[in-house]
Amino acid sequence: MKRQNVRTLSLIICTFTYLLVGAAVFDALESDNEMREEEKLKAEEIRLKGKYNITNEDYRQLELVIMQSEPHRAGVQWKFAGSFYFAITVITTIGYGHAAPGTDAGKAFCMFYAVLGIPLTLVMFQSLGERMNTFVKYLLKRIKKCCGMRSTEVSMENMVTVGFFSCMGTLCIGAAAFSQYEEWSFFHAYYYCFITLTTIGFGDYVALQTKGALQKKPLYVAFSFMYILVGLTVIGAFLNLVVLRFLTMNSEDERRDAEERASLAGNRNSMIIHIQEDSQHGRPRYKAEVTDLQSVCSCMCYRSHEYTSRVVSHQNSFSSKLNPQYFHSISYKIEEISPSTLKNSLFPSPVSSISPGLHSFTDNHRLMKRRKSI
Amino acid sequence: MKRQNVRTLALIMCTFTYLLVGAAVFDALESEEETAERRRLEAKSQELKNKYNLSAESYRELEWVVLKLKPHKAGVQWKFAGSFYFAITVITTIGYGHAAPSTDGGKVFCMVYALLGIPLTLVMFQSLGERINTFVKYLLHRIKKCLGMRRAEVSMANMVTIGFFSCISTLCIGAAAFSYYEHWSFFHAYYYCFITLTTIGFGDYVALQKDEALQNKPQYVAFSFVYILTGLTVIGAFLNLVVLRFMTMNAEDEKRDAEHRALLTRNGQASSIHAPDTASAAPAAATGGGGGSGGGGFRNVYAEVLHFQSMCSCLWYKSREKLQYSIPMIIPRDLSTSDTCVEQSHSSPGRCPETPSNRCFCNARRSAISSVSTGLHSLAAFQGLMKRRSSV
Repeated sequence: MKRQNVRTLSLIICTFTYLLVGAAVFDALESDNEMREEEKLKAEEIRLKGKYNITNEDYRQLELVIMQSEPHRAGVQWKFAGSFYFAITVITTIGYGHAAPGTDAGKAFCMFYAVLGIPLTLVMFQSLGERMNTFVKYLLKRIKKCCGMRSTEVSMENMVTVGFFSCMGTLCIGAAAFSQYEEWSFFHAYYYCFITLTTIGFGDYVALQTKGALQKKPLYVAFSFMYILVGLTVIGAFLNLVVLRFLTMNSEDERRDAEERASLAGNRNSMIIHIQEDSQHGRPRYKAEVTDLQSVCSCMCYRSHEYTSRVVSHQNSFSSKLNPQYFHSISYKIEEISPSTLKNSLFPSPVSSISPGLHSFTDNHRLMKRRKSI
Repeated sequence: MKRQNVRTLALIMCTFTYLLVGAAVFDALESEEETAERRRLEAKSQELKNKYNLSAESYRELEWVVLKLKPHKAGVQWKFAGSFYFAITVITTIGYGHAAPSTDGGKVFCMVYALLGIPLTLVMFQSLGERINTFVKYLLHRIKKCLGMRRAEVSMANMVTIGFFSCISTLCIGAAAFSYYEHWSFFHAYYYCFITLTTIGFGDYVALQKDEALQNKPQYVAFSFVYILTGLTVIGAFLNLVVLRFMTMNAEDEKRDAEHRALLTRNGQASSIHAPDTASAAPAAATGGGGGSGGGGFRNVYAEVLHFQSMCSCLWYKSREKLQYSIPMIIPRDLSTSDTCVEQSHSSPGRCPETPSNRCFCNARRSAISSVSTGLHSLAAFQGLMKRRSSV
């Protein structure tokens, strides 16, 4: 089976297994606690109902009122500061839900806003993240030079380590700040930062929801917004470094397959073109030459000796052909070639066989580079 | 300024502007309703307080109980079905919050689970999305052939249109299903599907929270899970088609810049390598540099390759006028390099004893080494780019 298909199937199976395992573990961790909580709360409910003699009907109304009042209790959610906070949670896909559009018009606008905003934000964070990675790589190289280290190359491991510690640092800074301002424990604040910066955004912990912070503490509000955006950039940079290459793997394999198919077809074409126009040499000899050169290009690394001798003989035959008339025929051929075939048939056979050879060599080299470097 | 920096700055400014505009519009749409709603609820709660003579303290007690009981009233959240639902909301980053781990152990495991699960899921959805796009492209190609259309190529516009309509219909199918099962209006169900499949996941509307659905309606539960995962795949495929290429733009520009720099330095080195070879080798026209010596080994191989490269560049340069009208975009950028390289060679005409008829060939030998690779490379890059931009 094609490599891409195998890869996709394995990923699907992995994810399903991961979900099953996760579900089992969460069940084990939370179920008991849930049962106990529920019993306690239900008992409390009955007690309070009896204490205040509230009818079932009225209690249901009370429930509704209380649940609907929850966002209002947390503050004014839709003035500019609150709306900005909401807009952030939409386009970054965090989506706490601490405030959600109540009007239908708000819901509709929210959807349109998300359709444009989410791709914009994705691209922006990846772009900025890549810039940050490049800058960090440059800094690290300078530091290595200054420290007088022997190899000043910045390896992938270096970058991943730096990225990982930046993420940890960002989470810890946020945890310290929010545990101070929101009066959460450090662990809960850390959990909040983690859930926010991974854009999961449960909404069980939400900043700026106590003591009317959105309206009364502009500095804290500004800090929260900056923290969320900068934190997402740091996480985005780490993802750009580690994960992004895997997102494009299938497409690159497809492209490489297509190019291989095209170059194979192109070589066949170029051989035909050459054979047709030049009847001086026998066909087998030319085919052999072309194949030789191709193999030369692709095996340049480990056939240099044979290559050298072959190349000399080829050079002889080739240069004898390069006279003005031949040249004009080439130009003429070039005129009518469309861009898609240009790469493979632009130059007559030995040369064109080099270009795909060189090209796939560069391509392979580039791909190798891609896998190894940042 | 470098292209990547300009691009990044522009994106940052765009995003900030977008946030400001969004905030202003949401303010305009929701503020009034919020104050009206708040007043209404205040009045209602006051009414109930008075009816039962509730003090502020007792009311707060009731509040606490009601809010804490909310997830429990929606059903058992942490049995296997509920946990699976929760696990989905974690690794897809939807994160409704309808149920959130209350134990500290649950919170810790949740974080570790997300750390591994989110990248896995991202890669999985993109991988599957790319497969779907390839398959759709293949299908469309066959359909076009069957219909006997003149050009059976599938353009980017075709793919984007199909992708867009797939997304819309996925949302509509979900909206229809959930409006039926959850007794929401079609619009609210559509809004729910949209917020879910974009992984925003507010939690204002959450499926499987009525009538103990998680425990009592296994088929509906299965449908919901399958819908969420399939819907995310369809959206992922559309994102893979339209957005992913933009996420790698900076990195590719960096890579291309690095390659250009490498080629330019190699060009400088190769010219100096070549000169001694030509001087030492026999002046036979055909042998070129160092072929006979064999002692050069790899360096000779490299020199030979560069020979062919320079030949290619000479041909390229000569045929520029012809090409100019077929591929106007490529010429100015790439041939500027070859021009300078060829010009370099003209300044040292004495090296090669070739006849005038071969002069271009000869002069180009030493020069334009990088121009071909740049030329070929940029041609390939251009094609790659074209392919990238226009194909899937």
